[in-house]
Amino acid sequence: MPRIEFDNVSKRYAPSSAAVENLSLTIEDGSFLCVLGPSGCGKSSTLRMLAGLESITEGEIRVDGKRYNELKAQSRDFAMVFENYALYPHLDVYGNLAMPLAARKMPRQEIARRVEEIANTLQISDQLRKKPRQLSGGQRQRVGLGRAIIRDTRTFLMDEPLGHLEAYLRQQLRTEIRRLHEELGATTFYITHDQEEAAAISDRIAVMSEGRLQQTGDLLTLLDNPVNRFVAEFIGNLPISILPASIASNAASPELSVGDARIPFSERRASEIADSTRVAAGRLEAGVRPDAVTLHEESARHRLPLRVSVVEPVGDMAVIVADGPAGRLRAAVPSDSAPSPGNSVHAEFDASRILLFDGDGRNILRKT
Amino acid sequence: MKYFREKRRIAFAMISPSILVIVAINIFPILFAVYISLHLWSFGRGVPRFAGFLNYEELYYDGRFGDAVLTSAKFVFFAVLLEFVVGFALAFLFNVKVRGMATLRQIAVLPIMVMPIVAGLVWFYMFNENFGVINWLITLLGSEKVGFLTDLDVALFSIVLADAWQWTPFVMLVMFAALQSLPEYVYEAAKMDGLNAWQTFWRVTIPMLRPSIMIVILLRIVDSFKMIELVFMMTQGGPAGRTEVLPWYLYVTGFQALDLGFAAAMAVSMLILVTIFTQLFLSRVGIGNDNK
Amino acid sequence: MTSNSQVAAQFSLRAVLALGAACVVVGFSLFPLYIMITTALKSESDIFSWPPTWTFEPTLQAFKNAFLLFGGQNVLVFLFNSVLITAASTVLAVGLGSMAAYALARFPFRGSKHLAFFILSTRFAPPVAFIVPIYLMFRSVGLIDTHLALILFYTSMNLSFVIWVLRGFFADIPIELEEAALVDGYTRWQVFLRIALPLVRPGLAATAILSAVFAWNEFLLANIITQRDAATIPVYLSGFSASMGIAWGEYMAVGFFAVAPIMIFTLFLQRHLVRGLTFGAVR
Repeated sequence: MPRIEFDNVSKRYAPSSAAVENLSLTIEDGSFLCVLGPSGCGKSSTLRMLAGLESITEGEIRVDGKRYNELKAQSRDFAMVFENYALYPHLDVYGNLAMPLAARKMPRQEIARRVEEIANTLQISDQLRKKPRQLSGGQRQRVGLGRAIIRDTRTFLMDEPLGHLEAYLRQQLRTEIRRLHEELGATTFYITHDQEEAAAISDRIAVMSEGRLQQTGDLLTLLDNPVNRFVAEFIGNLPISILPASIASNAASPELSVGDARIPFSERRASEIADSTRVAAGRLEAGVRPDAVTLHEESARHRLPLRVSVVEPVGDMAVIVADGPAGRLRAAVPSDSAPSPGNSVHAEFDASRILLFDGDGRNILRKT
Repeated sequence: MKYFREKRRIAFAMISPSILVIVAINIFPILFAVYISLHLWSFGRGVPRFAGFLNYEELYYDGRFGDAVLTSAKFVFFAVLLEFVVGFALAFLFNVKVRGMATLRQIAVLPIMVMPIVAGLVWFYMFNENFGVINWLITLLGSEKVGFLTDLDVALFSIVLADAWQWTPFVMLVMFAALQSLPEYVYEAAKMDGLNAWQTFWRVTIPMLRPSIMIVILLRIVDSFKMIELVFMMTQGGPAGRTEVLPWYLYVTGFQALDLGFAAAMAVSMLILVTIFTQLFLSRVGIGNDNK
Repeated sequence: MTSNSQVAAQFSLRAVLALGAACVVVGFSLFPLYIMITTALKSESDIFSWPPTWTFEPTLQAFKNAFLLFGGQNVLVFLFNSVLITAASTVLAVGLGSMAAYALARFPFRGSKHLAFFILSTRFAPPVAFIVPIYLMFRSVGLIDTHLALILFYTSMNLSFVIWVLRGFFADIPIELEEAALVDGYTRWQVFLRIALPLVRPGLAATAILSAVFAWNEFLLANIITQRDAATIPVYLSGFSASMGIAWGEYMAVGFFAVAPIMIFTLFLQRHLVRGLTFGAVR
């Protein structure tokens, strides 16, 4: 029963720069974990250390409590799916699928039976005699998947397996991968930079940036309760707006000022930050998701006056990009009530969904 | 329409000078050789006379020609075998990633470019029975001196050795480049599929090197078949014709015996042989097809 | 931790063994060249001594003999012939060949692939097959023992090679670069000269150097076609077999000058050597 633990794992290619730093993460048996992050964040290095393709500089990787650091990749019994498919170019589909079994000296007939079975599952039975370069990207990755599931392993490592495919195929194959995960009762460690894919396919998402694990949780948690400004900006289909803010504590009731707007702040929310000493330092930033903004024609004390620069239609919604002295704000409004570029608007924020970051980018309103 | 005609005109203008030279100096001589081979044609013995296939008939019954074919075959076989086996192994040696290996590799391939006549001169000196360094080395090992270039059974192998000195680095260099061009990801896939080192070598490395192996063997066969310089410098076909390879026999027939018709017949036969061989080989390897 | 240091120790042992073996190979490669140079620097008695001498008083006598008075034949004339013929044939082969290669790569017509392949296959023909017809041809037009004869033959010999290899280099250029230039108003000829040729400079260098080496080293045809006026260095060196086998030092000294420049080129050429030597089949 594979349960994978990263215990303070670091990877350094050069002494000064760390690709992965002090990573601690546990993947429970039978769960599907997605590591999400921009390119260069260390997610691939993490997976390759787990696979045994790269050495571990510091820390320990354990599987079911057993130290794996020195175990050769061949002996770890993980199956891997690669972003570039990594099929053997000199072998046909059959040969590619048979390779993991041949490596274990399985009898020929048994291999033939298993290959047939897997090819059926993945709907590539009629491609068995083709070479990889004769296949489309989607077919190639089906072969890649088949090669991973053909042997009796229960741990799958997937390194952006859908990264090179078109949107339609990506959706199709990710359903397939999730189905296989369920059927085989596997533990899956999956890497992607696509948050929609991560949300759709996994039980839990781990966000990485610059070699460090930022936060783990499901998509909703990451959206509503990001641990810091990086996660807030990285997660979300429409980009979050970040505006300078401050807390006016001398007023009768606590007020949050964002630009010229003075937004009443509930006692409870205000108290959440009261104990944060960092607020005193002054510089705060407010994060507002576009769907937490409404636009009005009339001004008010709690509204931020802005001028519309660009209107981007997205289906029945439109993203309004508006600028003011405080900075740039994006708001999602229904298309039929969208203002035109040049119009003056007054933005009102949903106070319960405003995120507040301190000078170090930490979310100081985070519910725990 | 005008656009395409312009393209064709330019293509024609750019290709034709080369074609002209190749036709005049390469193609025409081959046709001329066929013409000569159908004549009794000698220096200084009057006008050439048409003789039909007489020269070829003579060639067919010429025991010396048969011997030369056999000697050439032996030379090609042993030289290519030695060069390939050693060169292939050396490619893996020089593929070990250590500081300084690249420099050593660049020095090790220097013999490829040495003027063959000079190679023949130096090996001739080293093989000398009376003061040659190789005889000195084997006497150090307690053996008797060997007549490397005079012993009937040894002479051909001495030439093979000199040829291998020059061309084993070539095999090494090509196989090394082929090894380098193998994508890293197949080795990662092999690791994840659980292949051990032995399985990886036989199931991944060798099959993926196959096209390069075929090309290097083809080039070595064709080139060692041409070899004449070592024989010219070291043995002149001797002892007792034991190193008389086809090119040497042709050279002797044409420019010592001055029997041009007969030599031309031999040339035509050689060309046919090489052409059939390379076409067969190439059609199976696909050097002529671009994979682009 | 123990296992880590063990891994490191194993690795370094492997590295040392590999380096050692590689040094032996390098030694074998260089040994004949070492013999050549030392023999050229030995006095006559050292050359013929048994056992061979490894420490000796170097002398430039053999060089002096070879280049100043040896046998009444002036080596410098042969050297000059070699340089002239090599340079001219290389310029011609690369100049004509690059045009043909470009046309074959960029303006494919029906049968252009077959033509390219046919051009390549002429390279496989053994040169010895050409000696009789070429000799008669050149004799009938009075080109025997002229520089032009060898220049023509070497140009043709190298053309097939240059065309085939450069065709691959040209095909590697993204065609968009040339299309952009065409759109900008360049003519086809300008595109070839200003866009395509500079982009294949490594290929030009590789084919030029290899062509030069082939021409410089060629012996058989030079021996047939030339006698005195246009004879090249290999022809000079082949004279040893007729020299009663005495003048080792002098011939080794000339051999040194025949080999040294090529060796220097080879060291610089490494990167594209394989692609050139295998006609682009292996990179």
